[in-house]
Amino acid sequence: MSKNGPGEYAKNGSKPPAPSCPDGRLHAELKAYLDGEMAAPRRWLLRRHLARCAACREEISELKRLGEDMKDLDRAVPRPELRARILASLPPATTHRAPAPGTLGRAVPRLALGGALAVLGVGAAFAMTHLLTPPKPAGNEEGVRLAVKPPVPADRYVTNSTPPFIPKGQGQHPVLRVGNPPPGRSVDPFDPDHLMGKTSPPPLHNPAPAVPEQLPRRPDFHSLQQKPPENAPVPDPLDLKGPVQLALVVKDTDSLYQQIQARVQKLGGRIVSLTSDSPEAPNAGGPVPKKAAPPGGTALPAAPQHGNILTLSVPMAHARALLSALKQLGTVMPAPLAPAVPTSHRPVPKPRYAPSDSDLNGGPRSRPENAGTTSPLPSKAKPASADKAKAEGSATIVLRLYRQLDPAH
Amino acid sequence: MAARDERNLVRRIQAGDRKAFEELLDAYETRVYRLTLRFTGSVADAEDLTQDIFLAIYKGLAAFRGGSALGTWIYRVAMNHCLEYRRKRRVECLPYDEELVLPAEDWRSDPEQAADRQELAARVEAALSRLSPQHRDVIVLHELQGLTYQEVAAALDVPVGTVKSRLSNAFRRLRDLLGGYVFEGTTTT
Repeated sequence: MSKNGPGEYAKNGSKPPAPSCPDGRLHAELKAYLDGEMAAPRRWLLRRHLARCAACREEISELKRLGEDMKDLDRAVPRPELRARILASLPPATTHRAPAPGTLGRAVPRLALGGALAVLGVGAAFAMTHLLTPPKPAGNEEGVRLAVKPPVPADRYVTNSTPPFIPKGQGQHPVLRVGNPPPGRSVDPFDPDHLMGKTSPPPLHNPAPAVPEQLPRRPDFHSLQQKPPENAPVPDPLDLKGPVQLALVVKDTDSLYQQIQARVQKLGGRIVSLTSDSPEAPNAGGPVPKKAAPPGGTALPAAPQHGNILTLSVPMAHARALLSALKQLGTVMPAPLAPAVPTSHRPVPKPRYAPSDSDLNGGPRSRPENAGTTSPLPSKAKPASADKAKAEGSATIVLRLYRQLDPAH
Repeated sequence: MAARDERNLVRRIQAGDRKAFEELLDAYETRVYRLTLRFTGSVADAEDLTQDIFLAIYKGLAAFRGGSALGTWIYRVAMNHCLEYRRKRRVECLPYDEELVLPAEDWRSDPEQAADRQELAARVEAALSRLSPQHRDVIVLHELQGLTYQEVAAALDVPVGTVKSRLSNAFRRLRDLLGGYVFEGTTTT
């Protein structure tokens, strides 16, 4: 062994046989000793052992050298774009505080109550979905259209879904139905043909009672529609002559309207109208809660929260900035479903109430010619003021709101 | 980062302060990125994984109660993602990737030494890639990321004694794999 120099070992890549250490346990702790991760008594013992053991001295020098060689291995630095990507992927800032230590005991009864209510709610939803909904092929949708469900009269038991807009067999999803059909009714009330008036509905046995008073409701998210085309390019407001039809898919719908409103106003724009393509939605002329429609049809505080289609107008110079601002709220994509349903197939009754400009934009403002006093336009129709606004240097964006469906459901 | 600063930072993030999260990102982005690069072996996957990790951290901070140090918790989240990535990909032995070794800084001043260092780094990388995942994890966390035994144990959810023995065995195995190279360097210095 002694005749071999270090160079020869290096050439053939082998290692000289290390002298054996009589104390195997201490030998195994050399790395911890090097890292300073050893308790004082053991460290003292090992130090005394090292004074006597050549094998351990050799090994400890090798470990030290190897550790030093590894220090320089990781030198990669992330690209600057990564930081921006991470920040852009964060959800909107929400204030959330961790529960203080020791509050679990007080929280338990509330948790139990909440859990019980959740179980009841899930059970009720399951029963309604499975008992009242005819089976339909499950689709792979992610988008859920935001819409408002007005109070359902007793003679109508179809929700605000829009079956005529969904082609048969294309991405249909079970829709939660509300109410029970009258006994003995044989016609499928969910048949799109039936809803489009091609078949006469069966006679109703119960006349509609008075609409009960209701508190302003948050939007609920019943109707499922086709998945918006995710990969399609978002149209540029500057490239189009007419209003830009966009879809905004969001996860969190809390104060969504206010967030959109703030962004639009910050860019010098305004919300022209808020409509819904649901026939039952208040702004589309369906039944209106009593509180939401006082005589005279003046400004109503809750009304602007109803609807799923916003028509926005911003100066042309800020159109792209608005797109960027909307992207902070969710995924922006071209408006899906453009089923050009002729209005003759789907009569839209004249709305009893149309939100005023001050309702939509949160305060007194100068009224546009076509907003406030006139009925909001249905989503498919291009606003008549669009071309005019274009000529005046403003862009019109028709924004459909969707809530992203949890993939777990 | 001092414990008080950490607590303050967490409190600000929980209150919805986006700037505070950017501070956290400044402190941990590179470390987490290097960790994910070790596990993925590709820049694109490492970036995706890093993004996922920070998104999880942002969401998880709402429930963070300060039971452990912030850094330890962040590494725990990061390791969970990395181990999940490995489980899905079933990458047991990463191939040596040129991307992981950068040229030494002193390339211009001493090209020969720089070349030697680069060669050594390449050999160490190759040896690392031949270790078992368990051994590699402790080496990455302790030697490359600079975590203490206690922090490595918390990140991997194993006892400190396990970390100690794994690290000792991993180094012994690494030394055997590197063989003569280490011997040569040891005897000539």
